[in-house]
Amino acid sequence: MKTSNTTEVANTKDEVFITHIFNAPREVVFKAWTEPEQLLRWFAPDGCTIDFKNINVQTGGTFHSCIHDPQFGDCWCKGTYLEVIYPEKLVYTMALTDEHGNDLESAVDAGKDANMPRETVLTVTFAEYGNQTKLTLHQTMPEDIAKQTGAYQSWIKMLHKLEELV
Amino acid sequence: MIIRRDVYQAIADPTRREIIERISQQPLNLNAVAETFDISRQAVSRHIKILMECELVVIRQKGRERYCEAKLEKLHEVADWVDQYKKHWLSRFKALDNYLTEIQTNTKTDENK
Repeated sequence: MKTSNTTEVANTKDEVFITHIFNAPREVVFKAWTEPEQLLRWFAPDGCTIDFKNINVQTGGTFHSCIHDPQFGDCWCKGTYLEVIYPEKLVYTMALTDEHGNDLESAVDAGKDANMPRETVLTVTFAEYGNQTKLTLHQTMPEDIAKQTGAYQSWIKMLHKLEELV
Repeated sequence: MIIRRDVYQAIADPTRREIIERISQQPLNLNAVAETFDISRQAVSRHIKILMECELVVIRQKGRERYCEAKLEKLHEVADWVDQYKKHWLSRFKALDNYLTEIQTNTKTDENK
């Protein structure tokens, strides 16, 4: 399931790790990630739209967004920008909430899979790559999932082995 | 104390992970599974019972033997969150690719912010 030959995906024990080459200078790519009016243009998943109740992209700033999904309804999300370093790095947290920004007791309330994490940390780095940008996205697994699965690390290793058999 | 019976519960214990690993290659008869562990047969049986309740293992009777067989499809639930996000980001990157193409071919990019 490759979308393009410039995307690499590697899943380690408990995190998502993706790199992708974008055909634009990194200042342009960074701004697309950090300017609210640009985020509105591309950040929502296919067929959905996104709104920001508030968004303040700077270190220590927060956002509160809503993705409108015609199939599943609204999904509210909030987070905090831990690091915003133009044009090279963006670190933020993300958690599901309700419309008022209260943490959801459980992700199930948001109509998501029960295994959906409560809070995850995203680290996005932008490296110059000629006149392109190499973006690396790293998303950590939230603790409650890690706890649920016990020794997740060894487990995932095994899972990969088993995948060849299933 | 709620007794959870799901795939996470099943794999939270190292002995149970070990059992799954052993029977994942081929079904083994119950005695053969129990013999390879240092713990009592009873303890192994208890783990197998939990694995059955979590729907990761089925027991099949073959003649006089009872065989322990792994049902690995369930395990994919565990990898789901990673996959879910992976797909999510890949589709977003595609959208961003399109968006970047769009704003760069349009010379009037929004620079006033």
